[in-house]
Amino acid sequence: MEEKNLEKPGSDDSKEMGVDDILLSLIGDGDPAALSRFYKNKSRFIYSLVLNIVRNDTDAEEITEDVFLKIWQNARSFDRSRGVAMAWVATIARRLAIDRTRSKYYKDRGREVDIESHNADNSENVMVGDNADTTTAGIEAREIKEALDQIGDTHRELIRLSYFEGYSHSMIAEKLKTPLGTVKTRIREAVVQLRGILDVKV
Amino acid sequence: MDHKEAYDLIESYAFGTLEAELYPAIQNHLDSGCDECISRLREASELSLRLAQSIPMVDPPARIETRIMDKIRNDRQRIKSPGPLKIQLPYWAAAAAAVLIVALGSGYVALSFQNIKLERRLVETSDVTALLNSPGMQFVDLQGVDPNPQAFGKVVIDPDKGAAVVYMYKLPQTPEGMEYQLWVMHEGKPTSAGVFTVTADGNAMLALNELDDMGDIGSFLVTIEPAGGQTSPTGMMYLTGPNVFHSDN
Ligand SMILES: [Zn+2]
Repeated sequence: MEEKNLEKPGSDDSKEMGVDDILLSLIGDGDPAALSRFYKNKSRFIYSLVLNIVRNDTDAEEITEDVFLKIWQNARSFDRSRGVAMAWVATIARRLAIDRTRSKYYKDRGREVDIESHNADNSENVMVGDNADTTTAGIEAREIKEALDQIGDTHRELIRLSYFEGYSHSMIAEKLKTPLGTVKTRIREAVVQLRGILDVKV
Repeated sequence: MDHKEAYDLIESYAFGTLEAELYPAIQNHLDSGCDECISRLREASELSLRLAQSIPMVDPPARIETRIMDKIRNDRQRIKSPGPLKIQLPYWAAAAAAVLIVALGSGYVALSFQNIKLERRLVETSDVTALLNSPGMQFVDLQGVDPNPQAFGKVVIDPDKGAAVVYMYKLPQTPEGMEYQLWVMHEGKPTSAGVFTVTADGNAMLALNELDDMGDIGSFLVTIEPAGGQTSPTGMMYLTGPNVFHSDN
């Protein structure tokens, strides 16, 4: 029996199975119709997430395709005790997109690594906020900006680099000339604070 | 990688910013079942997802889906259930109005299947979207029994609506005069949920509606029986499913 697919009595992550969980399970069984449904539900979010990082339509298309092929291959390894399905999928998408921005291919195409310059406008959108924007993303962006305003300059900068710019810990340590251990500790603190302020319950 | 090392890198892992070569080590550590790291992963990845809600949404070009579906169609290794399931449910329409009484301890409890409605139609996964979109959705796996371990199934259940969809795959063809029968187990007592045959591929899909007392259902069972079905299982077992609504005993 696959224990992980069962509700576990007494476990504190006893969130009910959602549509995403079921579709991932069916995908794990090799059901193309389930993948098609999952694509229809999630592709807009995934594509936007990826495009936001790679800033190029062609790359965003390729990576979105890769994300869904990875989901197809790895749906069986999804473990809902480690977070909701979409968090798992978003991690896959971010990882593939960020890997692309670090790749030789990317540098060769001259679009590189100055992740900061091509993403700056992106994080600025969130950091600055646009009060006229009443889309869901716009409202979320304002809430997140307000939360970021509350966590202090040091922590905010670390979230900017580690989340919005896609820097690894060691890249951040190098950039800020700060010991790696300090970077790790402060990012952790920033995550805890932000979660508290945003009352994250996905 | 030891716990301390992994623990420090969980945010990077969740944000997708880890150096590529470090992913397998973190993965291994998480797979070892470290609760502290898993809990930190949940926190970071949920925050990551929340932050992602702020990005502007852009529609992807339609050709991406075409390319993905073309690629996986060629993935014969992974596809266990080819295409839409063509369902034959010759006896299901007649199976309505079965009121089944299950002996339970000192008294009798009615397990209400009196209005099982089964539809005879082509079914695709997308047909059960409404069911899949229900918030209280749960599901269980059905496993093949020797000598047919290749068979498997999945039951998608909406306890609130009293509806379920049962998917079954890779069952052998039934011999002349025999059919499969689906049973719902409650406290170890089987209740018939109807008979069915399978497609040429060995697949079947049953839609069950108006099932009351879903919360009392323990597990599922598929046996082979004389055509038309029996009042309790007599034949060989083909599929079993675990307790879906956990009872503590
Ligand atoms: Zn650990």
